[in-house]
Amino acid sequence: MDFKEAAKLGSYISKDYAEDLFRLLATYSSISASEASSRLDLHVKTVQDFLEAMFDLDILEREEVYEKKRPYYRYTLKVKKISLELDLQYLFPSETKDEKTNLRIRERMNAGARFTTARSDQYISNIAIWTGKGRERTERRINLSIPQGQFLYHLPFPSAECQSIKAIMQKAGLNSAHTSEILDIVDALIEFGVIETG
Amino acid sequence: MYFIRKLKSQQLGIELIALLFFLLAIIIVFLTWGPRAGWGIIAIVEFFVVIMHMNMYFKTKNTSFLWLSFAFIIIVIFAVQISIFGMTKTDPEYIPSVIAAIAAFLIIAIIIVNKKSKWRTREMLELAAMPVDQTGNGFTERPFSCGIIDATTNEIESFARFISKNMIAMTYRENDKIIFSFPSSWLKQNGLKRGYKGDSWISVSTRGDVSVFISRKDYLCYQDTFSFDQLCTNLALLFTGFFELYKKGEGIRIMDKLNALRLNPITE
Repeated sequence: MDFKEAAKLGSYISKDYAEDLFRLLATYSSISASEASSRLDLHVKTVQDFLEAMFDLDILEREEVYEKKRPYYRYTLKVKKISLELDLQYLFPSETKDEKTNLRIRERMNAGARFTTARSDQYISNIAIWTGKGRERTERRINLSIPQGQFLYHLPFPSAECQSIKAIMQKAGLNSAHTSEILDIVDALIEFGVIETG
Repeated sequence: MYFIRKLKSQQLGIELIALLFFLLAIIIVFLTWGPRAGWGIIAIVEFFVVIMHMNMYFKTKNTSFLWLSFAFIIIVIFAVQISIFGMTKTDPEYIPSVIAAIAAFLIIAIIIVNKKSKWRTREMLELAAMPVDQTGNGFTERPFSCGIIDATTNEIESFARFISKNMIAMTYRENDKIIFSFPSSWLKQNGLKRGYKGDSWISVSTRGDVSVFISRKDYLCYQDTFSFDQLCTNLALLFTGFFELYKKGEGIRIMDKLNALRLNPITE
């Protein structure tokens, strides 16, 4: 199950009527949205959305029925157990991170970011960046972890030569255990236009 | 020493306004209530100047401020004397007072001309920019980390006292580091405002980590948009060079280097 499906399932499962609806589905061999809504005293649209979502997630199966009136769907519970298994493996940085540390970067000229230096030691505690335009312009503050702050403290100035992420980390006294979080903040700051590559 | 100025000429700000305001007040008092009232106002103002210089002495331990306080006390006494008893040219009792006042003005002049009570912010900025020709702006509000100096805590403390005493930078102790701030505002230079926010500074931690920060205001004082990282690097090198000289017991050379620029002792 991917994140999108898990989110959908999670949001519907969390409804207070979800258990009652599943009880009806388990009790009836098949049930329509109208029957279920009248049985539970819910709006038909609410039940319809729930049943359709479960169908999309392959938990229910549906059959189109033609009676005297216009066609409608009857839903049948397909499974007796729902497992929510989410694979987080792809979120971990890939092996290419070693290559990414060779990326040469520096602070972008006139980036407009405000760096706040920690009083206690040599690191940046947070960055304030202005995002949006006109009336939508807002200040976005990013609080940094200490290794990230130490890294940004040693980031080359806009007028200086670009340096590789690896070299900056070395200068800041950071070991490879912090590479993931450093790459994360570098990516974010490239996106915000605070850091440029060269 | 001949050198190409990198800083814009100094603009007189609050000092000039304060001086003009003071002169205007004196003139008004002289014209409205007579010379004795005018001398009374001078005495009051100069009394505050005495307090200001005493405050600066306690802040920097620079003995020139004691001399200045002494000189201004004489001026205060002289002004009070005229204010209370008046003064006639023929009265011989005033001769010692006039001689003392002249001596006080001489003391003040000697201290000013020899730059004993002058903050060296502009000298430091000029020296930092001296080898920089490359332009390209690059200003950032981040401090510049410039490595580590080999120093013990005692050496750094002692150097801080030297720097403060010689008006090179104002020192602030903060956690495990000392901030050497270069005050550029008149209020800070005269001890009327504390803190280094908005000023350029150099910090030296007890481990010897050196960081440099040049404020936007100071950067805008330069005539050109000099390469910011080079300015920071040079300021750090200059300062660490001063530290090395101090460690060797050659602190006087630091002052020679600053005096060699021959900046105007009053307007700069």
